[in-house]
Amino acid sequence: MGTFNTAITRVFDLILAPFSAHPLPGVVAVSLLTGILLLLIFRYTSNQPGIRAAKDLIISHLLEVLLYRDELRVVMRAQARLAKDNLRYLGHAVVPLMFIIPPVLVLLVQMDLRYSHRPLRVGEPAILAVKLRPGDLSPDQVSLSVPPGVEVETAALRMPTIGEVDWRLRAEATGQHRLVVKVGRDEFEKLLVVGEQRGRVSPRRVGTGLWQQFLNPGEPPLPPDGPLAWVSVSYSGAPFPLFGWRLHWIWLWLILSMAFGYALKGPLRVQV
Amino acid sequence: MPSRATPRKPWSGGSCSDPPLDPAKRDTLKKLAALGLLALADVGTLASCGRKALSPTFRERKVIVLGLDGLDASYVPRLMAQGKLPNMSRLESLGGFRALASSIPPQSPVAWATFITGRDPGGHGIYDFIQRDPRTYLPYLSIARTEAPQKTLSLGQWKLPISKGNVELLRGGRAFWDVLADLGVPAAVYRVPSNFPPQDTGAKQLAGLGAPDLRGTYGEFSYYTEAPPEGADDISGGAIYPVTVSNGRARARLMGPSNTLRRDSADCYVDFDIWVDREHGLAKLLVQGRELLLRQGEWSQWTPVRFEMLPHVKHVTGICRFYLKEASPHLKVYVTPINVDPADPALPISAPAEFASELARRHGRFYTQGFPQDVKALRHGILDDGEYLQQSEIVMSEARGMYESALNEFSRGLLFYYFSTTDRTQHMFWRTMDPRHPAHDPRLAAEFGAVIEACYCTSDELVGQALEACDDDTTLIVLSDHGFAPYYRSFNLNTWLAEKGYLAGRGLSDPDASIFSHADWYNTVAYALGFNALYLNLQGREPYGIVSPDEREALARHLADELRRVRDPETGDRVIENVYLAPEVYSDDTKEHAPDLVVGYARGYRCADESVLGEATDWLVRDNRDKWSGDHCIDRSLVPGILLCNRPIEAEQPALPDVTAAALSEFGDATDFSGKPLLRGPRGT
Repeated sequence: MGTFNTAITRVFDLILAPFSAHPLPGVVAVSLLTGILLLLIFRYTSNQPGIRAAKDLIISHLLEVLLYRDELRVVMRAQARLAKDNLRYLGHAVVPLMFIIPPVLVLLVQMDLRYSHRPLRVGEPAILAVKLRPGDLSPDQVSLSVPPGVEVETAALRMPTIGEVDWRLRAEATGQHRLVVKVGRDEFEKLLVVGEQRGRVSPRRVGTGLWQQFLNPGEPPLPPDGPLAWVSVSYSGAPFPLFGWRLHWIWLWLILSMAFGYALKGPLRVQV
Repeated sequence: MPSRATPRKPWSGGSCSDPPLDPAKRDTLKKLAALGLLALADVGTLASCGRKALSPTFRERKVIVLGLDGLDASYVPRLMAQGKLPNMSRLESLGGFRALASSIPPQSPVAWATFITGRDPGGHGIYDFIQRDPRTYLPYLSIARTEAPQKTLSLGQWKLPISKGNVELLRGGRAFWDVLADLGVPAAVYRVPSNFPPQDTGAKQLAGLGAPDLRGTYGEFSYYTEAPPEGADDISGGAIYPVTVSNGRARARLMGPSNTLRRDSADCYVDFDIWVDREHGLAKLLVQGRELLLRQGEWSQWTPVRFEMLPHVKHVTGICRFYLKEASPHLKVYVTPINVDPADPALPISAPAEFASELARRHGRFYTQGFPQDVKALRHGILDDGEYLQQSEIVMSEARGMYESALNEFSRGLLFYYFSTTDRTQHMFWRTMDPRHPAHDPRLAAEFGAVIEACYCTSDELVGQALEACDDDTTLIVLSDHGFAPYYRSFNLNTWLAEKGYLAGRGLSDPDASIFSHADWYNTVAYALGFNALYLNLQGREPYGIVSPDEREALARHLADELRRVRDPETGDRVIENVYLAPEVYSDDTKEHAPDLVVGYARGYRCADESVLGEATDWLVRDNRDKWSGDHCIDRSLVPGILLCNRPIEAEQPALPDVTAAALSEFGDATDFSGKPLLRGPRGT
């Protein structure tokens, strides 16, 4: 999973490189690509003639209901057929959906890595949390060392009952700082991103579990046989300011990709 | 119904010959008369609107008004003479310094309303912090009133509003910045008292004293502790919640506003977790997914808290700060009152409405409650002196950041900025600098004895910043609404009234009874509510009134004479300096919620807290051992405020309305205001 994550992350870095100055063009570009990609997947994985036929039948049944609204038997029969053809239409979407879900998941995870959180600002505090795997290890055996540019403001807060140790940090200089968590003689790194520029921000570095690793692609996974379950930094969220609202990027992406998809289905000759 | 006995009338000089007018008719006539006057006043105001356009001479004018609550007219010159207030001295040399007569009574909501409108309390209708509803004898806060929606639709446990609720500013009269707005003069008004909710009339305004917290009070803290103090249930102004730490974790509940969408109006709440590391003196709080890691003795940043009123449909957001008072041996966490979130205000704390969120975006979240310093927590020992000062410093630093930015951006028109810290600090720390005070503690005096002086020096820095922002076209006015005095002894006015037979009832001194629940109104001729107000139980105004309108003046004069003769039974000192009859000091005494007499206490005395809320006690005068040790709710002649200006001040004894007129006359229009413009000569620094 680590290699897969690294490769995909590099691909997205390349795609989004021209839009690094501001996140909004990046989301718009990804939404456009999403719209096109989903249309193409839909076109080549779905039964296009079947979809066209199902839609035509749905329309004809609707017309039937309108035209023969005084004849109850005809209307009832049309309603039944309408339901049946609707199901058939939905059935045609199942196969393309199976092809659409994996790339969309990858895309959402990569977008989340870039747009859900913002880097710490200089002077801003954050909490570094270390979660131990269940076992014999005590939180007392965990310590932290930080590079210049990061200040540890508190002693370690140890929560033995849940195997967690927390520190409060304060960023003092921009950059990508490598925090080192020591457990006994083992050392584990966690990246801390500080600055005004938006970019990849990985709130959590995780250990075993393919699904967890897939959802947290920003840093290489922790050793599977190591003592740590995860290490996290409490970055702030990064909503998009839009017309006085502060939107999570996913709403913007959803609306824009649907709008692009709708606008391009004609030129790309896709039956949706 | 209680039997109606004939009351004793020691004030009555003779018999009343004319039959009294039917109270209802008289009331109606008075209301009509008042409405007529108001209508005339409004017509006059309307006529003046748009009558004058701003002449080019005044278009680029700039006036900065810096309001420093409670700066004392005798203490300021003393510190200036010692060279401790260099900026104020400089301002005096540029223009002048005067003692400024406060309002009657000299209370902040009253005095600032007087300055805002240029009218006395008879004109703006704010007579005391607390006023009484003559129909019920019950108190209400004088600045604003909140009304729930009148029409609702009940669905199961829910009560859905069909009509809108209302928050109403009770201050009458016209704010002087509204006059400027009509002239096209831009105005920005920050945190000024008696201005909640701000009226959207063109000026940018952020509400000050009068703005409630999210629960609708003047501020209620929450305190979570493993070791609740004695009498925890009797603490006012906050709530104490016992918590238990188990396996290093405690679970607590933060109470929010009443859920007005529920039929039972139960309080909204948010549960949160506290993880404690006693060894290292740390605690982690988890509030709705937010994590706060605090060291013992540390304050958190503002934390937004979302209270669900109708799940997924309606919520309100507040903000609070957490303070880890102690992690070991006992967990003690103080939480500030839940303030209205300026980033998403649930109440109208600014005008225009988006001004608060604009400020939050630029400066970060900030205290929005009108009385931000938590004096109640200090009085009840929840915060100690040092902790209170830290909290006060947070308030000051937020206000100061916004002030500096406002000064930097100020280019023309009016900038009016208000600071409250001098007032609160003198209230709470007088005991530390005055060895005569009953609550004086030499140990605390050594540590905190210079706090008030330091606060004056900070005020001087604010004046210096304002001076830096001045150019040749800028008039700088620095004023305070009143001065300060020691509060050595408490006098219970209701006890005095009861002893003299003016206030009747059994069990009046029962501290557990609700307000006036034991009063025998059919035998009561006068009662006190609020800090300086005394009311007659007047026929036609109060529901069980027994004082006829014809007797009113004679009774009022008799009471005033008696009160002026009151002596402290222990010291023999005079308790009351002066008593004012409303018709003699208020331009319009027809308002039904106006007091009949205003009691001006002598220096060192003040109305007891119990009496403020209508309670008589088994003592008349006693030492004030409370941390609330300085005060100004006494006779106005004893606590003048200050006026400093960078232009010469003509008047020798200016009063607040004169400063209003002066500020307006800088823009060429003070004709509709009662005060006399008091500045002369060229402006400049």
